[in-house]
Amino acid sequence: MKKKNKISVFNICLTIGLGIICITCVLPFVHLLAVSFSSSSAVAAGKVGFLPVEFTTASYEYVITGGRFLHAMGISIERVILGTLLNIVLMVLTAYPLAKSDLPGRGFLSGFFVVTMLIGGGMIPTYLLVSGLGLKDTIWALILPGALPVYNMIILMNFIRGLPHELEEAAWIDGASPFGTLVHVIFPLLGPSLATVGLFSMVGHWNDWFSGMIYMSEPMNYPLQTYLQTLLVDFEKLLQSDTSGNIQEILSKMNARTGRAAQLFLGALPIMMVYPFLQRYFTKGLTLGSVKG
Amino acid sequence: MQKNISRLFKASLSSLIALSALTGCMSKPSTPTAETTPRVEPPADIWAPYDEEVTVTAFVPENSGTEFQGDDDYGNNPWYRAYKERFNINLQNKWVSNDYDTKLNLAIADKDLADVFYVDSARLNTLHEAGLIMNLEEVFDKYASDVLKNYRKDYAETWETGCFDGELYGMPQMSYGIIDQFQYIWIRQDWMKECGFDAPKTMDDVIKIATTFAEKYGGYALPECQTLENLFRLALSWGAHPDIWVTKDDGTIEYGMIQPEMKEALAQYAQWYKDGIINPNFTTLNWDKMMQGMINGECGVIPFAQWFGYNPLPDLIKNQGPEAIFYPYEIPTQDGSDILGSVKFSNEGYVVIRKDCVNPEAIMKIVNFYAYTVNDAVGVETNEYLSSLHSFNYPNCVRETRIINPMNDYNQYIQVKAAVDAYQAGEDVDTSELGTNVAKYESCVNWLTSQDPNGVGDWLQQGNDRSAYGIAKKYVDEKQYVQDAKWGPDTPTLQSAGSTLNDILIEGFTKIITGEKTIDYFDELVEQWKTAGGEKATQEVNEIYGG
Amino acid sequence: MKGKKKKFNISTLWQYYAMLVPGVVLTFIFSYIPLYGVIIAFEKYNVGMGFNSPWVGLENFRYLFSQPTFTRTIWNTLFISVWKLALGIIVPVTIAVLLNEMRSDKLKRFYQTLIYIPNFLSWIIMAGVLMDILSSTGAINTILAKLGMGTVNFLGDAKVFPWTMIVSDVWKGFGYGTIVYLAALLGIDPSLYESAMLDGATRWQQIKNITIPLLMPTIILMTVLSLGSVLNAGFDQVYNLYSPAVWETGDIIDTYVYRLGIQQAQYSVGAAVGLFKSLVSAIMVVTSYRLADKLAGYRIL
Repeated sequence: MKKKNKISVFNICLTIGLGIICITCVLPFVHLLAVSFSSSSAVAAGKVGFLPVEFTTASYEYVITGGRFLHAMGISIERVILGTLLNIVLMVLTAYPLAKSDLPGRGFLSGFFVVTMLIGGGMIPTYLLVSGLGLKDTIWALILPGALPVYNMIILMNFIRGLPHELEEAAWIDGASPFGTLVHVIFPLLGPSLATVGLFSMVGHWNDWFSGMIYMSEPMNYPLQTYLQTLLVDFEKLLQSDTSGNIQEILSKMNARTGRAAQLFLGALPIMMVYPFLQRYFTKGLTLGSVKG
Repeated sequence: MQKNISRLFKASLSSLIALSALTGCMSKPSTPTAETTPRVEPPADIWAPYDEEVTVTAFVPENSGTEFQGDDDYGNNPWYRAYKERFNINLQNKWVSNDYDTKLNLAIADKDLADVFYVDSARLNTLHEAGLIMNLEEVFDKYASDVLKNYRKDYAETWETGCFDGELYGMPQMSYGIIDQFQYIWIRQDWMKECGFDAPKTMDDVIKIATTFAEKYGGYALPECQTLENLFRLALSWGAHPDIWVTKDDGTIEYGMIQPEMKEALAQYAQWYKDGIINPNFTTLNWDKMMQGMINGECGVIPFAQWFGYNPLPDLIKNQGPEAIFYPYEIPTQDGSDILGSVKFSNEGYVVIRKDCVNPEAIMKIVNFYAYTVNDAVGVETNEYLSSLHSFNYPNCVRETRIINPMNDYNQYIQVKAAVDAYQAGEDVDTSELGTNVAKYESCVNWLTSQDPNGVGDWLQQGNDRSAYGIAKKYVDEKQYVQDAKWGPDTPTLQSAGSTLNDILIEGFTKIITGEKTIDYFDELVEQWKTAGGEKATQEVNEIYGG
Repeated sequence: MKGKKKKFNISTLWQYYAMLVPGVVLTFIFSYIPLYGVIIAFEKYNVGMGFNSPWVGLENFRYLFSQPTFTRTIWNTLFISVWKLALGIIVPVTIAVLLNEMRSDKLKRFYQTLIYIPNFLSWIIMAGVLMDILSSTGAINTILAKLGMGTVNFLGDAKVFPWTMIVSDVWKGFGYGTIVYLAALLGIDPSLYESAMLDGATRWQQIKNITIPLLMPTIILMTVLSLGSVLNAGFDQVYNLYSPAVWETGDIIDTYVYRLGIQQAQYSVGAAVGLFKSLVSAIMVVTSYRLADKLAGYRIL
C-alpha cells in the first residue's frame, strides 16, 4: 500500500514537472499564432502576447493569394512522398547489412558512409554535377542528392542491432534468404524506429528551401518552403526599388514579422498534421511477447 | 501487424517505382527555350523594329514587392510586351530567382549565362577576368541612345568603374540620386508644440528637447541600436564622416571612422550614455526592437534618414494617432557652421552582355527603352502608357536592364512639391504632366485629406513644407556635402575583409559608450584596425582613388 | 553485446552486398564525386574560371588565421558547442526516461507531441520571441525581480551570453533527441522489467540497472555523431541573437566567416574554413569512436 502511494506521488510530480516543460515549448508557438493574426502595427509596437490584437487575416491572404501557394504545396507533397519513401528504402537496405557485425568488409563500408558526414565538396561542384546529369528543373534534383541520409541511417542501424536475434535465426533455419528475412522479419519490427527516422526525413524534405531555389529555374516549380522564402519582405530592398509608391500599402498590411509568422504556420501546418499519425508508432512499441509466442 | 507492415514495404517499393515514372512525365522541365535566334541584321534606326523576331535571354531577380496584375508575370508584363511591339524583340527569362547572387554564381560556374544580366563590381571583375563578357564599346557607340551617351558623359566617373583599360564592359545602372543620402533629426510634433520648442539650432537644443520629452512623457531621450547607426548620423555635427573616406589637408585619403572628429563625437556620446540620455539597453537591440520603442511612444527625437516616414512612422501613427507625426530638422553643427552631409558612391549594379551574344544591339535597344521612358517619353507618350510601365512596381521586372537617371528623385521632388503646393492653394492640378510621379502626388493628397498613414511617407519625403527632400535639395544645390574620396567599388582588401574591419571599431565604440573603456581606448582601436588590414586598405584606396 | 558469432551462408552472402549497392552508388555519385571541390580552398577561386583558378597553396588558411579575432571565435565556438553537446545528450535522455516512467499512455503521447513543436520553429522566428522574453522588462527578468534575485542581462552581458545560447538551444532541440531515445526505449524487452519487479527492484533501481545500460549504445552513438559537428555552434541562433557587445564571448567561427563576406563570392575562404572544420570533426569522431571502443567496449559503427 505504502509503496503504491509513493509511486503515485512520484507520478503526480512527474506529470506536473514534465507538463511545465511542455508548456514552455508550446508558448512561443501560441504567441506566433497570435502574431500571425494581428495587425502589423500592433506587432511592430510589441503589443501582442498570446491573443491576437486587432484581428486580421491579411498576412494569410497575402501569402495564399495568387494560386501559387497550392501549386507549390502540391510540389512539396510530391517531394515529401517520393523523397521519404526513397530515403526509407535506401536506409533500410543499407542499415541492415551494416548492422551485421561480422559482415566481411563492414568496417570499410561504414567508413565509406561516415566520411560523407564529415566532409563535403560544397555547393558549386554539387550543382555542376546535378546540372550535368540533366536533373535541373526536375523533382529528382531535390531528391537524389540526399537519397541516403547517412546520419539517420546510422541511427536506424543502431536500432536494428538492438533487435533480438532469435527471430532472425529462426528464419534462417527455416531457409529464408537475407532479402526474405529483411522484408518479412526485420522490417515489421522496425515500426517505431522507422517512424522516427521517417519523421526526420519528412521534416527535412518539407523544410528544405535551398535546393528548390538553386535547382529550379521557374518560380512556378518551387516547392512550398522555397516559395514562402521568396515572400519575406526585405524592407530596405523594397524601398530602394520603389518607384511607384505603393509598397507602403502592402507594408502597412503586414510587416516582416507578421508575414513570417503566417508563413511559418502555413509552412509547418501540413507537416504537423502528419505528426500525430506517426505518433501511433512511437509509443505503441513492440509486443515482443506475442511475437515470441 | 507484421504482415501489414511487410505489405506496406512492398507497396511503397512499387508505388515508388510507379510514382517515379509518373513524375517523369509530370514535372516536364519547363526550362525556357534558351536558344537565341541566329544573328539578325538590325535596322539602321536604333528605335526601329527588327524585320524578324529576335530572341534574347536574361537573368531576373525576383522581388516580392512587384504586384502583378491579371496574368502578368516576370516573363509577360508591359515591359516585355513593349519590347515585342516596338522592336520585335522576344526577351526570355532564363531564370527568375529570389537569391539572385547565389544563382548567378552557380550559372557562372556552369558557364550557362543569359545574354544580359546585372552584376556587382566584384562579379564584374570575375567575369572580365574569366573572359565571359563582351566589350561593349562598339555596340554602345553604334546603338546607345543619346540619353545613355549623355549619362556616360555627365557621370563619367561612375561609368569608368565599369571599364577595364578604358573599354566599357559593364554599363553602370547608377542610382536615384544623392538627394536620398542625407541625414536628419526627426522630432515629434505634438510634444514639440506642447512644450513650446522651436527648431533646434544647436546640439544642446536637440538634447534639451529630447530630455524634456523623456521627463515629461517617460522613456528615454535618444534611441540607439547595436549597429550604432544613430551615433554615426549625429557624428556629422562634429564634422566626422564615419561612412566614407575623406581627403585630408595634405591630399591623402583616410577612413572617416578613425578621424579625431569621430573621437570627439564618441566622447560626447559616452557622456550622454552615462547621463542616461541614451536608451540604456541599446547594446542588445536590433533595428526592429529599437523601432518598437519609438512606435510605443517611448521617445520623441531620433536621428534618421529620409525614409523615416515610410518605416516606422505609419505604424507609429496607427498606435499614437496622426498628431504624433515627426518632422525632419537639420542636424546642428558644434560650431554653428553649415552642416556637411556625407555622399557615397552609389550604383545599383552593372548591365553586362554575354561574350557570345549574337544580337547585342537588341539588348541596347532594351536598355535604351527604359532610359527613354524616364526622360524623353514624358509628354510624348500618354500618361496611361507610362504609368502602365511604372505602376505596381513593374520596373522591378527590368531590374537587369534599367539604367537609372541619377536626377530622378531630385526632379521628382520638384514636380511633386509644385503639384502639392498647387493643390493646397486650391488650383487645378494637371496630373498628366507628372508622368510617372502621379502616385507620389496622390498619396500626399491622401495624407492631407484623410490622414491616411500610408501617405505620410511621401508627404514627409516630398510634399510637406518641412520635408526631407526639401532640406536635402538645399544640400545638393549648394554642394553642402563631402563626397566619398573612394568614389567607386571597394578595393581588394576591403572586399576580402567584408564587414570585419568595421566590426573592430563598432565593438570598441560600444565599449567606450557603455563606459567599459575610457575614450583613450579609441587610439588603441585605431591601431588594431590598422594592423587588421586597415593600413593596407588605406594604401590601396590612396593608390586607386588618390591624386 | 553481440555474444555469439553467426556463420554466414556463403551462397547468400552476396545478397547483403546487393542490398548495399544502391546506397553505395548514390553516395559515391552525390557525395564523393563533388569532393574535388575542396581544392578551391587552395586556390584564389574565380567562379568564371572554375577549378582551374590560380593556385595559392595555404594562403587562404594563412589569411584566416592571421585575422586578429579569428582565434577567439574558435574558443567561443568550442565553449558553446561542447556544452550544447553535453546538455544535448543529458537532457533528452533524462526526459525520455522520465516520459517512459509516466503511467498514462495518452498523456505521454501528448507530451511527446508538444516537446517536438519548437523544432518546427526556425531560429529567425524564435530569436524575436527570445528577445522579448529575455529583455530587461521581459517575462523572465520580471519573475527574477519578484523573487528578489535581481535582473540578468541575458543577451547583453558577455559573461552570460554563451549560457543563454547553450540553454535556449538545448531547450529548443531536446524534443528531437527525446524521440530517438524513446524509440530506443521501446526496443527494450518488457520481460526484463517484469523479472526485476519480481525481484523487488525499485523504480530507480530499474532505471539504473536496466534502462540506462540498454540506452548506452544509443547514447554513445549520438555523442560520437554529434562530435562530428563540434565546430558548428549554431549559426542561425547566434547570428540572430548576438550583438557587438557580446562578440568577445559570442562570436563564433560561422558568424565571423559570414561577416568576412562569404556573400561576396569569397568561396575560397569559405572552403578553407569548411576544410578546417572537417579536419577537426574527423579527429573528434575517430578519437571518440576509439575511446568508446577501448574504454566501454562499444563498437558503434
